[in-house]
Amino acid sequence: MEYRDRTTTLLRRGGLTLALILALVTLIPYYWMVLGAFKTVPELNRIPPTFIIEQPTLNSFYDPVGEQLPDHTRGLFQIYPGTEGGFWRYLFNSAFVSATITVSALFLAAMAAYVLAKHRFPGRQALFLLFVASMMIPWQVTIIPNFLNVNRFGWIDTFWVLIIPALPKAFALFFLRQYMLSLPDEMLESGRLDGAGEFRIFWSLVLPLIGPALVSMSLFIWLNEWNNLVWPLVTIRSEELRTLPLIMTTMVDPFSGATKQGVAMAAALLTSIPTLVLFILFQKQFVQGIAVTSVKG
Amino acid sequence: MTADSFPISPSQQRSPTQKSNQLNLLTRIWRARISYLMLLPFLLPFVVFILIPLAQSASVSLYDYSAVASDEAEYVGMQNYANLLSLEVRELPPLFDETTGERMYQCGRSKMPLSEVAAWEAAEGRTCVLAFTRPRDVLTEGFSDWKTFSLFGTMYVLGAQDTRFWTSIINTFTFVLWTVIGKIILGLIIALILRRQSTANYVLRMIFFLPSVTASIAITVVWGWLFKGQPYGLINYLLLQGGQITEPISFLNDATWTMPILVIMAIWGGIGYNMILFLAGLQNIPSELYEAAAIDGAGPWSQFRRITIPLLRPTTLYILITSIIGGFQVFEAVYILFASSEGMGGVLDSGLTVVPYLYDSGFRLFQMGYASAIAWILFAIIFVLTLINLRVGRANDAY
Amino acid sequence: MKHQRILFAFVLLLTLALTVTTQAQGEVVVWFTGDDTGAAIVQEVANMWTAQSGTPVTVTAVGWGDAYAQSLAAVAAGSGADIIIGGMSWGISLGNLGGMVELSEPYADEIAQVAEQSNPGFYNAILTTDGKVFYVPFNLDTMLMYYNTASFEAAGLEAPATWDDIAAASEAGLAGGWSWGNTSWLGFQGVLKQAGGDWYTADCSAAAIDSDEGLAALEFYTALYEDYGFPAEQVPVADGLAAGTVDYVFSGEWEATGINAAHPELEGQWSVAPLPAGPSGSFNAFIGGKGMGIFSYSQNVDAAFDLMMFLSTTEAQQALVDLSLANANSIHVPPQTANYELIGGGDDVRAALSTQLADASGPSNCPGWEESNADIDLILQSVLFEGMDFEDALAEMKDVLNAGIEEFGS
Repeated sequence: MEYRDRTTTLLRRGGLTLALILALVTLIPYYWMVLGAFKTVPELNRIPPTFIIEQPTLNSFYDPVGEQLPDHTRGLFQIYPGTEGGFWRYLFNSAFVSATITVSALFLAAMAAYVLAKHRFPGRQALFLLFVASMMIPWQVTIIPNFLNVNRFGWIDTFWVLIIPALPKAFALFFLRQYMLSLPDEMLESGRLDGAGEFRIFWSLVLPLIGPALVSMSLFIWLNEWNNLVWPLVTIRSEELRTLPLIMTTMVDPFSGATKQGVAMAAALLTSIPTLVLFILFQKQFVQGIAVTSVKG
Repeated sequence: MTADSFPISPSQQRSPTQKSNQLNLLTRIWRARISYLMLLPFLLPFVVFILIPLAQSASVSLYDYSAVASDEAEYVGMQNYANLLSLEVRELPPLFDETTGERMYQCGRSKMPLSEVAAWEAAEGRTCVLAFTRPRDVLTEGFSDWKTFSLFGTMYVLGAQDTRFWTSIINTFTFVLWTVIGKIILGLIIALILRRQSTANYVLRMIFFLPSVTASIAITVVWGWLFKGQPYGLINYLLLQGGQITEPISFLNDATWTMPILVIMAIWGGIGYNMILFLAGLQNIPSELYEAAAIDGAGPWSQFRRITIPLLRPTTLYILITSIIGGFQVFEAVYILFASSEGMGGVLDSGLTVVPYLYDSGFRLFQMGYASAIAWILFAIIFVLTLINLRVGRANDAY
Repeated sequence: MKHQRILFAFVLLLTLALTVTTQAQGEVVVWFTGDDTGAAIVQEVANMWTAQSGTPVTVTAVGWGDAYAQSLAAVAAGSGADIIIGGMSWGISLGNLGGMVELSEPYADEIAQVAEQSNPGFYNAILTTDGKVFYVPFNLDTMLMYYNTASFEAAGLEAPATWDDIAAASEAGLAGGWSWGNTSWLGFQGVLKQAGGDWYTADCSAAAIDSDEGLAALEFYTALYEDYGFPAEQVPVADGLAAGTVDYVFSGEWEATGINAAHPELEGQWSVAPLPAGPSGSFNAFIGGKGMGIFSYSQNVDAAFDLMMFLSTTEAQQALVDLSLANANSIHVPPQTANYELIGGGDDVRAALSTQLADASGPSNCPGWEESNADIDLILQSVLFEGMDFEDALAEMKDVLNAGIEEFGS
């Protein structure tokens, strides 16, 4: 027994050390991103690099001096003079598109999920199977015809093209339906006895009850849309409609040395923060939601 | 999917089951009009942006189509698929000097007859190997060499009509294999270490989970800086300091490093997510099982092997399937770090995976039909792999 | 109900956001491939034209990585900008798809004048083999050799002027590197022409790479990386010279203005020269740059062409040169040979550039070249990094190029 306890303790200590080391490795890119975003240009260029900022500065975001190498280069909010609002505009675009898709897609999916979970009607099983089967199809299969179609609709280079095609989310429908199956029918019946219409029941009774599922799904969708690169890449052309992923692709420049990295890190930082904040606010529901997908899926 | 996944709600009041079966279909549909109405807002975009495009995509893949109005689509049948998939194997005959008939040798980047080999080897300090006919000379026209290999002393060449496609397939499989293994093993190990509830564990879990909720597109840019060649990149700097290397490595311009970098980035981004899934799976294992095993004298290792692993099988299967599907669709990392204005896949196409190749064909060269065919092949691969996974997973459940 | 209010506000916001996108009528819209600063400069010069013509112009920046795909998408959609200012080879590829307005027929006199005034290396690259013109030159980019004068002096050497000088520099312990055009056909093309070779025969009827000159070029090109220590990845010019990791670098002329700014300690320690000459005596460099063309769906073809002609005038080119220097600290190289004297960035830069531009050539205009690029790069990289046989590599390139002619030639 004593021998076993010792192995267990050893295992636990070793494990914890391993976890600590891995956690530190995990944090390296964040550390370097934050460091880079707040260094001055001369400090960025220094070899060997500094590991603690000597002179923290916001110059990578906005440099009042402007383009004046070797010490100053234009900050993130100065390098897009062609767009009103500059980088703010891209932050807004991404946030607006992601939020709109998240809310609308979730609403549509939840309503459909409610019907599929709690109503009986001809074709119900067939439709559900169709939705589930569509989850297997990678988006790459439909991107080309979708591109050709939105072309015909005249939607290229509008917000429509970013939002509308992203609305049907079979995954969300499937997940919410599974979640709604566990809602007691009696409660819905009592709502019907009170004379509430079906939409009323869905809106006032069902939606409030599936809050945690909605939160975790919305973070999923938000994150996906926030990262979406390919679709805007082929459908957006105006500067003022660009989303953050399109901006990020221009941040890796093989020709430049360290000078421009401060701006790139500043952009990376601002791109990461919104999703991180959302995650910290809703982490509990999100983590639960992930766990549920694996158990139910 | 079993039948009991679709329990039917009673809804007794409106349409008692017995009665509804006797009504004709139209009446039943009319009665359920509210249901259809509420389904419609989802169904409509689903049909327009998923169902119809699916059919279109299948049809476009049979055409030579550039999508430019003045350029007519030409029906080519299965030609796009044939171009992508056709392979052939030919024997590579040894090479002889055309005039003297001497056997030729490959010395560095030149060929020479045996009589000159000794002098070259002495001068260069390197050895020569037997030379073979140039692969393209033995392949059917339109094919180019993808791989050469030797079998029982004979050289063969494996030719393809589209070698870049096959390169992208192999690259993708390599990527998926390593990322799936890495993510599952590391995710499981970390979940096991952090399974107990404590503040420290909670903080560590959050750290591991951060990459899963960070905009991958932003963090790829950071990786790009970390992996810079010359002494500017942090990783090169640390390796130089540590004495592991004496010359900086051109990580982003070195074919041998492309795949490891992509894999490291993907594993880094995916561990935390898998960890959460494993933690949920571990929570579902009743602790009595472990207690009983401990009383029976089972050590940690045998508990792990006999209880943890088998009971985590559903979780592992789920992770396996989702990771494979995700892995096959890798795009951003390749596009941001390795694509240049000349090509998509980095040096020697070492980072060319299927989706970047699809993007290149479809949206750089505007070969829409060809790109659609690539998409369907991608779908077929994912579909088959998922089926295999499910089958194997079920078979294992049986014992 | 709280829910309802949220839904209402949301629907309102959605409707608002989707209705704000508007398009002004009658204006000329220009897509400028590059960054926002560059677009702002072109906008300012275009405003000079607006002052004369009364037609408003909007210049929008499109990133290099995505501009070609966007142009193709615009052609497919039949809507977008009127003018694209973009990569020099795009005119032909888009034009052959029917996406660009052919200019030599409706504007014969103007185009003849453009042909006469323009840098021949560039102009040949934007002319199709059957004499169609989809593009007018906007600016030039070419390669130069940047070198550390101090380290060459210390070694008792002149700046390398020939291939042999590079070997000598390497023997003296001086390191070289490649930035723009590294491990790609872009860089190799210069070497190929310095050796006296070419990709195709003059009439584009067949590949000509499989020659003694091609072999010499490939051998020297490989030696750069293998014997003379060129690193495998792009060398940042200013940082590389400052850190001493390289003593000479081949890169684009746009680097010239950034070196002193980024590393003041280098001031007076570096200079530029044309590329070293090969056995044929040529010191050819790749010439790139941007051309401007009109999308075939444009409703404003005449106004657009007029704007393009204005941008080709000495007055506009002077403004582009000045604004580029002032606003972006960058060099705008006018495409007209007579306007080389406008080039900013210092006398030595202007001298080196003028010399180099006289012996520079753009991408081949032979059919199938664009589609063969990726394969040519693969073969070059196989030679550099996988020890591929020289003769096999040349034979392979020949097959690829000939296949391209067969598939895409008329």
